[in-house]
Amino acid sequence: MSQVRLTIWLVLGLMLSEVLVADESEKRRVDISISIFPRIVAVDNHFREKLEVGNKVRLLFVYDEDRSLAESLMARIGKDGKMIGGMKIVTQLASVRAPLPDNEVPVAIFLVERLDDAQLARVITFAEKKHRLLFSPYSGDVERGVMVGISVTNRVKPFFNLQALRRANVEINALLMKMSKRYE
Amino acid sequence: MVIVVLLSMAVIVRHWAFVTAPTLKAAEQTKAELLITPYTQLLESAVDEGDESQLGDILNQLVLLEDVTYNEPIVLSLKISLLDGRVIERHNTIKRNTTPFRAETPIFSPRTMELLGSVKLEYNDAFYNRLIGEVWWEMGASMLMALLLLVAMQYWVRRLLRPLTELSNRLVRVDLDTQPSLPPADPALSTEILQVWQSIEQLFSRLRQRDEALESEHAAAQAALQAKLEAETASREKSQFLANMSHELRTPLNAIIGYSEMLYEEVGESGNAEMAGDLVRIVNSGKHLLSLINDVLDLSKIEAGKMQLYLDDLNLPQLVCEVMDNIEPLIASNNNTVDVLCDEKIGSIHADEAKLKQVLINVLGNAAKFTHNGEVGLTVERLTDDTGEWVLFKVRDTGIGISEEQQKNLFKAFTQADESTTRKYGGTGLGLTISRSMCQLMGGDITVSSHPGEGSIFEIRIPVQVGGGEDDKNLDVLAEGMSESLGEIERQKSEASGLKKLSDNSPLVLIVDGDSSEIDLLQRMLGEEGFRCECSKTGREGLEKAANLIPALIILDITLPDTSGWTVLSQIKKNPLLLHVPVIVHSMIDERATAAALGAAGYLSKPTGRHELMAMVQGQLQTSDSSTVLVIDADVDARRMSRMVFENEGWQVTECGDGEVGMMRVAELMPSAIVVDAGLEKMPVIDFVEALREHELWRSIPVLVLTEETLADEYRAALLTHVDMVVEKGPYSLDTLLRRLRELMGAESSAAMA
Repeated sequence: MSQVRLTIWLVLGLMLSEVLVADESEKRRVDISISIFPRIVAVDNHFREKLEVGNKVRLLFVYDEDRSLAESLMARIGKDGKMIGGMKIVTQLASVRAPLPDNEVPVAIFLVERLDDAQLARVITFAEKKHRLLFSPYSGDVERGVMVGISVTNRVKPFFNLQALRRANVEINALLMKMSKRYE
Repeated sequence: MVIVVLLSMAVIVRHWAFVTAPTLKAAEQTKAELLITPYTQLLESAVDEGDESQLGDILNQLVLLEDVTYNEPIVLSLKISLLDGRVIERHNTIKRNTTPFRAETPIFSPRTMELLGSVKLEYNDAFYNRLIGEVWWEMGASMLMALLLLVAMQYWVRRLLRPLTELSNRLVRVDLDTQPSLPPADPALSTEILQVWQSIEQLFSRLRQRDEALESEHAAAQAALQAKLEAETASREKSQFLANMSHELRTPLNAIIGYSEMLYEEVGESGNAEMAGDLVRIVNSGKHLLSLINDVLDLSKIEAGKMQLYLDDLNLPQLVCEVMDNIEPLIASNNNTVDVLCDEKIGSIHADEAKLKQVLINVLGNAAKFTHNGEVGLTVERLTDDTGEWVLFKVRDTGIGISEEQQKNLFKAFTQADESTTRKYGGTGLGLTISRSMCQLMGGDITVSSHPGEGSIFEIRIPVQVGGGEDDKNLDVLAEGMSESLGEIERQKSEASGLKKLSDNSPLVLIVDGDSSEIDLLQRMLGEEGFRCECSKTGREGLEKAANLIPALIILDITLPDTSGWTVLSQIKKNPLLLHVPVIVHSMIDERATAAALGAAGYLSKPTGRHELMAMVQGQLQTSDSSTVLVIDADVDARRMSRMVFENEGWQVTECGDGEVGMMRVAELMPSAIVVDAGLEKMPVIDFVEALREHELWRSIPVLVLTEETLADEYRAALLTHVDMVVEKGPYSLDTLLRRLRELMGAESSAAMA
């Protein structure tokens, strides 16, 4: 009996460690992505056309449940008065459970958390409709239709979904595209 | 093995080429990618700030890096391409063709996050190429070495095995039939191979010896088999010769003796003494010649190993009496007295009667012959010693005696004591030889103790239980005969209805013999004694006459022209109507045991004298004539009681326990009367008597029924239709039974004598 119990604990421990490792990995992805995201925003060839009034770069952070994470990411991206292309960054929070802002269209959208299929589809539809760059730090989201993410191998590279970009009518700098990973 | 090695090499090479090398290449590519990554931020800052000095330092630093393992720069070139068209680059020149690993990364402005351009790095492939080259070289060298080793090993193995191969080839070519040994080994061979060669030579030699031994054993076995076959052939031929000679010699002698005796009797009656004297001489000469022939044939038989023993339990006092009856006239003829010492209670001996008698007659005859006015004595006693139980016959005489020198030749064939003895006393010189052989055949011996002028003592020593012969006890051919179906009995019954009833009441004797003169002799001898005779010269005719005439006795020769007498005897004994008829086998062939086994009542050897013939015939007829009572009762004690009472009346008694066996006994014995118990279980008495009365031959047999219970009137009445009397067992039942039996037996005897 004790052997059975030990086995159960071992399995649970392994599952937990996997979860923890997975969580750690995704946390790092998010950390790196928040540094890369502004650069990706800047390589949109029509980036300057999407500025809001006052030449501000509105960046929308969409979350599901973890509002605090969204807020911390927003804080990091706007830290020390960072600018994109010389324009001030304005950050905005939006819950995926609520209607996405239709009137204040951001320049680019950052997915704070992993979303389910329905939620993700809604956000993708929004971004494509608005012709805005949608960025997700989570693995697999580019394959699910998100326009851009990151590819982590021996180097961290931007990862583009070309079809999604075409649907959204978003053009990316060719030089960067050449040095990035692409998903057709 | 070569193929296995080559295949292994191919697998290794393939793995290296398609797995390991690409992995190494990817690893080098990663190294290139990783090398530039930490410098990217510095380069971004330097480019964004326009600090060309810092930029130059960074670039110089990178291109300066050198790998200590192969002493070449790590970075072959570094090139920054900016979006504004500027290009900043650094190079390292090396004197070889290279295929560097390339890594390119974008650079962004840290301030504006805008793409500034890209940085391209060429990473030296020297390490990779060197590693690959070394691995390929080492792998190739190893494989080559392995191949060389393999080839060398194969060469050495072949070379090492060559002597064994040569040895094997030589062994295959060796012809065991023509070559006495292996060809000599090549001295150049290694010591070990030479040892193997020698071992094989030794094995070869041993096999050869064994082969030769087997061949000689086989030859010896073949020779022994051939000798055995020849000996068997010779033995068979000898037996056939003996049989032929026995028949050819005795047949005419039999006629001479028989006719001479008859003539003598006729002449004697007529009073012609002179002729009678001549006839006596003829008879005596014939008997002497017969005796000589018998002796010679006996000796031949002994030497051929054909002398057989026919064993039976013999009452010693009776045997002695019979011998003395035979020999006393001879003893008395020389004015000798006879002294016989044989205890009445000495018991019996299990031996061959004829041979034992022959031995005693021979020895006593010699004693009588060589003693005049003296004494001839016979002592019979039992002796037990370490070797077993014996019967000792001592024959002593007060005759001429035998010297030591003469005793040496006494038991040798064709020698008497000396020639003068032969002239004076006659004889063939075979008697003692044959007697000793017969004694030895029975497991005993004859010894002599004698001195000239003082008489002799011959000791005949025979085991009490002689073994190795054939018992004279009959096989029960009756059961075989009676196991025939009732249909056979019915068939015989219908044939029996055609029985001839001869008016003459004198006993009828059927003679079955292929020899006309023999038939004539027997017919005359029997006729003179008041017997009626019927004769048959063939077995078939004999069987027909026997079935039709139901004679009182059958005299049967074995040598018949159409069939064997044994076949005829068997057929007679299978015939229920003839079962009770005694058959005397009258033959030259001494097959006493076979005759008894097949159911013969007696045996006579040809030629047979009148007295011997009549004694046998009268004895058989007397036996069959004597009143026999068959007692059938399941109770052993009751049967015993009946036996005692009936034997007291002088009747012969046969008993059995059930009706089925009773039927067999009836067929076998034709009893004068049957006494049966009403309480038979296996075959109820009513069934028994009904079956009995179905046979014409048995209807006249009186049946008396003894019963313990009072029978129902109806049942009693049914029984009385088949039986003569029903008696309830009680204090006077046996008396009643006896009276009635006496009446019935008396009536039967009267009817027989009438």
